[in-house]
Amino acid sequence: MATTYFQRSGLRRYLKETGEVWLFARRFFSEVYRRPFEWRELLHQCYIVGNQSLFLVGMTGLIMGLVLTLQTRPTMEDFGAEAYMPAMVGVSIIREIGPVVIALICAGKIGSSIGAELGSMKVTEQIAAMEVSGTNPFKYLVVTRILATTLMIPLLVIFGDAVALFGSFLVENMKGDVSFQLFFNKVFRQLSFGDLMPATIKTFFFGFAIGLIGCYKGYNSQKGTVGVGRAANTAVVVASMLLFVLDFIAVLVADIFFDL
Amino acid sequence: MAKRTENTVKLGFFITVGVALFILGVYLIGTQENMFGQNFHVSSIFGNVNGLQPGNNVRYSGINVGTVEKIVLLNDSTVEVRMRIEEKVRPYIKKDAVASIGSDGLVGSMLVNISPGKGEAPMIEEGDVIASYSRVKPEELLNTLGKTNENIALISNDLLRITNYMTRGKGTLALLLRDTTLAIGLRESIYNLQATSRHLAATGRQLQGLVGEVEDGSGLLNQLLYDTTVIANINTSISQIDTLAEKAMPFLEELQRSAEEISASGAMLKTAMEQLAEGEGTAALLLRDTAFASSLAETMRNIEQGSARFNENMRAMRHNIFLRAYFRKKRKHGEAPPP
Repeated sequence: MATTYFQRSGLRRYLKETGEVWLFARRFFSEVYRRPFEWRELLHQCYIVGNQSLFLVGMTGLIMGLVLTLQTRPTMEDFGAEAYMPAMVGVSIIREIGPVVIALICAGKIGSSIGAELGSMKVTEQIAAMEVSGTNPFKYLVVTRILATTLMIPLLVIFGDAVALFGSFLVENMKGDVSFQLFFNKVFRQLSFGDLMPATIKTFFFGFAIGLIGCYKGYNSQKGTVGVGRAANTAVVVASMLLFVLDFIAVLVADIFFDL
Repeated sequence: MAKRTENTVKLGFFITVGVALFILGVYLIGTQENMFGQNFHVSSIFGNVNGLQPGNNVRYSGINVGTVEKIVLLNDSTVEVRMRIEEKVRPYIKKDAVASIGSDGLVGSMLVNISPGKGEAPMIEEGDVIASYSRVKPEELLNTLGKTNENIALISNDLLRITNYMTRGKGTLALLLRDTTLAIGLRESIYNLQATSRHLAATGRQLQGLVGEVEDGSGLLNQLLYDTTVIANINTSISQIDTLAEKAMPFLEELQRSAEEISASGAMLKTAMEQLAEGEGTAALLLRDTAFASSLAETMRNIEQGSARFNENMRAMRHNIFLRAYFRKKRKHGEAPPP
């Protein structure tokens, strides 16, 4: 009776899936060093993940900077501490908000697209056809995509941070009288490598997680159009949750090594 | 194929921009922490660093010139703060500079302030240890403020009592504040003072004129002040007076003796007079007894009458036969005849 309940329960499904994701990741690490390397496909995926997300990331970053500054400024003014605005916004964006928000946006856009693309390929048996034709579908489809997200998400986060800081500067310049040079001087005077490095390192893990979950969900999607939609949806949900878990772990580790 | 190449170029551009932004961020943070460029190291010994941490700014005359590199506990009461300072400011920092720990505003992070020393000293060198100056700690400041507050409370109580007295019209100050006649009196006094000062000023002017005249004129004062021969004459006169005084001395001594004798006589006379006044002795009797005086006057009259009759008798005797020869002889010898 107990076994039956365990078999039907979500916990069993969760454990099974976790194990499968782990095996999927292990397969990725075993395949990534193995020749032949799909350079061309990697560059193509990098273009899709990086360049085609630039507008979305740029807009998100700009609005993030504008809103954060507009919302925080009145409170800081109450304390007579508007001079600390650039430092506060800089630390918030670089250390936490920038990486997490931009990774979530990318999880939505890239994770879903990878899940849907691979899911439809699986449903239309293109992956099976590739195996028959002698091409390694895992290497061609999965390894290139996971590598592309792992490499491109950090760059997108840096780009998004820069745009967000610029957006914050626009508000500060309009509401106050801070020059461009003074604003960025204040931002970088407050920042240290203890802020920049952990934030940048964790974005590689964010990128890896988005690519891994997207590919796993698509590669293992169920048959039928419902399976494709489900793969895209769960890819976004699971990747987003995993991002927060990874962020929490990253903060714990950074606290130990960088003495925040 | 051409499209794929174009996409790759776009990708390359994006990667370049992203990496450049990252490098720029690293460089800017590194510049703030003085990780690039030439630096030199100095240290300073403190008793308490008040929460200073490695990476905090080091300021010289208010300019950020470096960062705190390391904080080492030397023993139970001394902490060494090692600082990394930009090489370009080294010529301006001398060996006698003084380091102190401050904070960036009220809520800002801690920092090390290096102040220029006094006087001339050689340029600071790599590894030098500069003097430190411990500022008053906030706790000590609060303790002092607490004591000051207690004192202020006591003073304000006293002030309250004084003002109460004053409002009730007690004491000299209250009188000063409330008495209008006193105010009028004061005002008049001030007017009088003004008038006096005007007079004084006029007198001063007159004196000034007088002094001018003395300086310019040929009067006695001018001669006394400016003519040297007058002084010589005065000296001669004084020496003559001295000689005269020496000569007069015996006379004066004699005079003094006489005066003493007179004084003694005076004393005796006084005694006699007192005796007279008291009615003792003959003289007093003579003075005071009126009966005696009248009898004396009677006696005198009798004597007068007696002497007149005696004269008459004498004249008669000259014509007497027995005595005529005696008188004639006397006339011959030139002797005057008796009356």
